[in-house]
Amino acid sequence: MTTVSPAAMASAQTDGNGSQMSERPRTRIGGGLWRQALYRVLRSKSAILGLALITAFIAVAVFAPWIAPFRPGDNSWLDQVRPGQYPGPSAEHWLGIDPQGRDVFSRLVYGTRQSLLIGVVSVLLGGSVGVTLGILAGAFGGWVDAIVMRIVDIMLAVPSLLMAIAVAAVLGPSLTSVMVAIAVTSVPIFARLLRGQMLGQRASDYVLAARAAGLRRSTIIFSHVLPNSVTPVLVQGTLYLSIAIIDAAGLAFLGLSSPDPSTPEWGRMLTDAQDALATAPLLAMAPGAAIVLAALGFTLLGEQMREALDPKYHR
Amino acid sequence: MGRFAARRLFQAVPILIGLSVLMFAWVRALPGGPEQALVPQDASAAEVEQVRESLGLNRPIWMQYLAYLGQVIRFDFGTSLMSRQPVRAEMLDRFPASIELGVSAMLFALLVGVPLGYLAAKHYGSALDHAFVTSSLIGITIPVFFMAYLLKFVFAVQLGWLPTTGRSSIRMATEHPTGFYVLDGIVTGNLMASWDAIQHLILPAIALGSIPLAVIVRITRAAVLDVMNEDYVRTAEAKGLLKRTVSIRHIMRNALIPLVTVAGLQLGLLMSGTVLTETVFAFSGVGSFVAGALFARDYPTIQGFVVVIALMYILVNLLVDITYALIDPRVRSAQ
Repeated sequence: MTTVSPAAMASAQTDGNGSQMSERPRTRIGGGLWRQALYRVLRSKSAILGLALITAFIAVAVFAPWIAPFRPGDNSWLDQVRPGQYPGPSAEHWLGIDPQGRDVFSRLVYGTRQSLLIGVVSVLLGGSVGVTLGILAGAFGGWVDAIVMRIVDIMLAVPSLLMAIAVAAVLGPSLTSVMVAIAVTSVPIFARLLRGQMLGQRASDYVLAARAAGLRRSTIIFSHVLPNSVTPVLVQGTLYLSIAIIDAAGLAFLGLSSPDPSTPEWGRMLTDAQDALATAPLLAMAPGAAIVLAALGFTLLGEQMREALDPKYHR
Repeated sequence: MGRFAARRLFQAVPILIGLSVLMFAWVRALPGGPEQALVPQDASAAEVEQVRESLGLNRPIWMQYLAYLGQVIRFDFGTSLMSRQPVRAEMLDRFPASIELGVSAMLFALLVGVPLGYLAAKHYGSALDHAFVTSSLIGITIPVFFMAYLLKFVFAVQLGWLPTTGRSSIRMATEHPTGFYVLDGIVTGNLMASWDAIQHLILPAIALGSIPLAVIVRITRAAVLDVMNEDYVRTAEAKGLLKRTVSIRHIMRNALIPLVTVAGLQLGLLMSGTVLTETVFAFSGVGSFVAGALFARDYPTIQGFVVVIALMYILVNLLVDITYALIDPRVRSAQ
């Protein structure tokens, strides 16, 4: 959408002989692909940083009621707010008070729930539809593949933010429509990725061997081709979580998120704070930093997962 | 080459037809259906009847679709509910602005991104390299409208170096024969108007250009790293060619290939980005118009603009493919 796909960046980085991997000692590791990958991810500083950021945000989301000193919709401090003048940070209100007389820190903490929810639901939704389409195209080939890929082409022809706007226009502004809108824009990406992987695997020798051994086509697809094709989809899913969080902010900016203004949401907090940039910069900086850090966490982890799971870099 | 282009053009036809079906279905899925969505809320019964008539809502659905397709082929997208002007007239007004902005953003991203990526690759593994890669990562995670607001706040509001909004200053009275304001100034001999338009373009172009910038830095870095260790580069160096010659003719020429594809793919993201950037800077282009249409529930405008933007996107990708074939002979022979 409004953001560059971190996926494109990750491939950009790995195309050039991923810097992190080549600097590591070439130790031989036993175990399966996943164990090796875990080992490699845990050895990468940027992956650890990403993982730490994600863990912190999940913890904040889960324990929000205990971390936040006040309820997000509580506007008890409205009497302290003057037009154009909002109380800054204090011992009681760490990040100050917003124009509606609410505690910014509490809203930021509760907003973590919304952002993670939007990210996870939209990626699961878009991922499952995309993966289903990808399996159809990759498993059947022929005219099924042709039809699915044309659908994907059509979806890709509409810039993703316009697609999201179109979806949200049908569903009306709500959190659900933001999730559906982001999910819809991710469908063609997942479908094309999985299909490409499956086609590549289908041409490999072990599939030929399985066919020669007389295995049924469905067995070959689901027990051999699919498990070997699914890794990039998982990586893409992780990277797409960051796109979803950034895009949700963009949709909130366009007024397409929840119609209830008391909903604590980073994108809307950022949008609402922009007029107060001169007098109370923290109102915008705090949710802005939260979006950047959350997106950074998923991008860092996703990129390192990609490198760790790609055998190309461990010969 | 001609056959290659013709075949790619032909492949776009089913996509365009599918897109028209999608947009046709979209209008019918809108709350209240087409007769509510495509007329102003305060429309009289006669106006509603006129729209029903022109859409042929009493006829079978496939005839309605064919009628719609006929309109799309004639670029007739009805009347904007916001401005009461034909949507086509609005497009002629708005597209030059966004094309000007998009091209400036891409120029910014390429002029800054390619040298940075090249430097990062040349100093691979150094602090400089890490700094460029890390900052490009952070740059990518900043929402574009936030970036736009920060730039506007610092350079326009606080420092006052550049204008805050619009495409030109109000006092800058000049004619606009092409709609591209920078070009208009040159055509009409009013260079001050061109300079004024450029000043209005700088901040939106940097904000919008920050989207492709990060990718261009990393793609260039990766491509240069790939090419730098090729045998032909070593041969060129061994022949005693000037360092500059090797850099430009041997390294950059080959590193360009992935760059063209990626720059082309970024255009779709750029189009999404214009909606947010133009809104922040009140830049009267396609993006701000579509965002405004969304607020006003101006569905004929959204419908028309989505179709034309998708058409342009397909054409740009076609151009990218052809450029790709031009700079890389291997692509041509593989086809």
